[in-house]
Amino acid sequence: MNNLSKKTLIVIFILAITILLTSCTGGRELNTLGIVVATGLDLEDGKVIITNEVINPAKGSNSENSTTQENTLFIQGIGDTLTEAFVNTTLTFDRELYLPHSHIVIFGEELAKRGIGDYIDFLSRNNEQREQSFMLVALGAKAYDVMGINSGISQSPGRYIYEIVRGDIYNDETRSFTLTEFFKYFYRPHEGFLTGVLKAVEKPQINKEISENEMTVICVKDAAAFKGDKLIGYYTGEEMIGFNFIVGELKNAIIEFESPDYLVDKDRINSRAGKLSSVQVFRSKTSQNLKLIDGKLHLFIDVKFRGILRETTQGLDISQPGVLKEMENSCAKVAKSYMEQALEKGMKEFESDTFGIGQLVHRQYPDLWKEIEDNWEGIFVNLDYTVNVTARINDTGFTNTPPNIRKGKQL
Amino acid sequence: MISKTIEENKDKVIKLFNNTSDLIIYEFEILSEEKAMVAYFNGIIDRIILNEDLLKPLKQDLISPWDVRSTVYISPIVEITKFEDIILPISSGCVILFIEGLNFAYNINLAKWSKRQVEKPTTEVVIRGPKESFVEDIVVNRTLIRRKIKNNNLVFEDYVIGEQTNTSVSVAYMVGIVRPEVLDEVRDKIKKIKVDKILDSGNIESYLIDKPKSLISSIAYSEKPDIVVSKILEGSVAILCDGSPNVLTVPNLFIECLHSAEDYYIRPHLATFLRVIRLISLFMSITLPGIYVSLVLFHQEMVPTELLISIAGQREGVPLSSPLEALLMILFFELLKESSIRLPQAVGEAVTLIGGLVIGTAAVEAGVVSAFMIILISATGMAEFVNPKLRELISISRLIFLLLGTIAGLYGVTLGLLVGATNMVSLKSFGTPYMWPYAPYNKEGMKDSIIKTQIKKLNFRPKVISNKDSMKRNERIE
Repeated sequence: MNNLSKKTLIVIFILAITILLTSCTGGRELNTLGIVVATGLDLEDGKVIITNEVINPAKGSNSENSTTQENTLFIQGIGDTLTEAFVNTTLTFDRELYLPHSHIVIFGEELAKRGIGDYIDFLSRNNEQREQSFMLVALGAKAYDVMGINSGISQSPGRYIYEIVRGDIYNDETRSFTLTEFFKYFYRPHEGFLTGVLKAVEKPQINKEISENEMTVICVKDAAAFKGDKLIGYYTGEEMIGFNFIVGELKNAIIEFESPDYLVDKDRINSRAGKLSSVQVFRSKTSQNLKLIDGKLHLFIDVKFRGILRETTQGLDISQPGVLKEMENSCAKVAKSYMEQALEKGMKEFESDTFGIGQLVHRQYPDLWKEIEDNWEGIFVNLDYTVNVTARINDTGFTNTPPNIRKGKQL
Repeated sequence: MISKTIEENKDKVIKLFNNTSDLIIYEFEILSEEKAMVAYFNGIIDRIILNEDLLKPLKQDLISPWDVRSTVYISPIVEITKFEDIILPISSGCVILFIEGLNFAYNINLAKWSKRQVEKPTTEVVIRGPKESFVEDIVVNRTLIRRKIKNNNLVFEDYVIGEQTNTSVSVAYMVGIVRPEVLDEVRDKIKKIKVDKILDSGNIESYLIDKPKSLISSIAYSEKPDIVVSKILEGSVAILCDGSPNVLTVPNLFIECLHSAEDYYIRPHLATFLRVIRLISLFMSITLPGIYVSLVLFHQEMVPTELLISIAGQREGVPLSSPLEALLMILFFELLKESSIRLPQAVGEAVTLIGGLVIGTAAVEAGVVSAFMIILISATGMAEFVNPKLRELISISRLIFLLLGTIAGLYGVTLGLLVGATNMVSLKSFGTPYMWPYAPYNKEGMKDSIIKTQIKKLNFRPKVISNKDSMKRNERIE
């Protein structure tokens, strides 16, 4: 019996230790927390401004009679450091800000141009910051300028942005990077990196029941390029397709192209008005390769992709042999030009290796990399490259012959 | 000793039973003019048989006191020589016949009293399968089992326990299938019972359990003869108790708590699905409040954002903290459950209605609890009713897990599960591992665990329950 109670005591002791040594703090009730869904970081007069979009749960629960403006509150704090700014919010707000549900971190353009290196420490050190949050730059604006716009179905502006950004698989004219991905690229030596962008765009109001003539929507097209830790420019949507092709992470993109004139049957109805065909790329494979030609590095990029013909506005009879082949070639040409645009911009304008070519050199020519490592940016700017694109149109959709061909000759 | 004179015996009987009012003593003369006397308790014997088949032949035909056996045709007739030996028979419906000149008495069993008919089971309801259930009378219960096993190997062993109540208890088993060591253990334990009253098989249960402090009972009970019979045929020992419609069976396995009699009468696909549902509901009913509380107190980041916002919206304005809220709702639920069981049926429905209404809508509108908590506790409650046999385990451990979740979050819940699992794995019921066939693993046993194989493929009895020499189901035991 004595033996048994000793055993019991030891078990209780071990259990107590295992509970205490985890150093868990006490629980926090939900109604003491302000759930942040988006965070904006700005720099003004040397001070950091942190803008938090906080869900107002009391209003969110009965969404029938509440507008999105009531659903969310915007809590700002100012300080010399991010932490100070963050903690300062408690001076004016009745809840403790709770970051794990903040899926969006927005940098103001001014801050991004100054360099974000000083401020990402807060994001990686904070135990509450979710590593799957998306990092975005407010294009030509302050972070808080693009916050608070909800033109979607989501309940709050932050969720609206999140849903758009997360939907990047539907459109490769942008790229969204999470904190984890960002750090992956950030730590690579002599390389630049990208983040997604947000811009507020004015659009005409279609709904006639609303008195205002214009509405503001958030657009995530384009991407911001960084050199070191400073914003140096933006890739356009087409260049982003090229970029995604080059790094081999293209998921879904539309390529518009013009087929050669001689294929177009000019006598057909409407055939002169249309100019373009669209191919949706659904699968692509990229292989990057480096070769030393005459002691100089030469980059080869081979891209093979498959696509579905989504639309053609030209007078093309794709049931004719050879026509599809020509279309594939034209499509490949356009894709190639996108890639070249992106490469040119990265090399000549940004002078920043955002494509991870330095890593490729390191992998293929480790000895050479050690020699040129410190001078890599100079070499990258004048790097020779060849882009080869092979396109295949796998599927032409439900219609074989376009309607304007079947209608017959123009009267 | 029984005296030869009637007067002396009469005084002794009256004295023995303390002049109780329901004792009837009738004196008469037999044909050969010797005095005779019958003693019995009013209301527990068949008086028509007493008059027609006992008193009538005695008075008209008995020519010598020694000819009782050839004159009376009632079976069985037993001679009693010790005076103390009449207590038990007379209390259980026998008539004691004294005749002048004999130094022994006759004990004639004429027991008959009003009892409940065999009815549909009330707690273990099935859609398909036999619908009879045990009653309070042990003789009827024995009959119910005997009628299902028409075999010479089915044995009942009778015991009388309870110092004051003298309750008869039967141990039933199949010779050749039962494990001798389990049977011996049951016999030993039953013989050792020293208690004044046995009113239900639940009273015996506490004397048979290996670990009385454990939340998990190592003894199964059922009110359906088909369940008990199928367990007897797997090697279990059944313990019937007079006055109780619940028959105990040992040993008990965890997995059998998830089984229902119906599983064996329906097709295996649905049976497997239902068993998975029962397992899930067991987990739900034990851990759901604890997990919810730890999620909203400690791990808000694990809840999907939309759900968290919705929960936060409902929590807004609720004065109680989440653990207290959960505790309050569990209390409400237990109240509702207890009151609807205890109250008369007509009133019980009203209570359920009012309780459901108050807790369901009014409490949320009044802002006492959040709507999400109502959903959660109702789900927990429904899940609890899926496993009525584990009711004791569920109700108590749910509170423990709530406490663990409040103190240490999911970490505490995990620790609790760990301790619970360790406890279950180490538990033994009459030498049988409680978690068989999972721990220890047994391939043959897995065919009838969570997964239910076709009956025709279950060719072997459970290895840990039945006798090692008779594992095959498809052979007759000699």
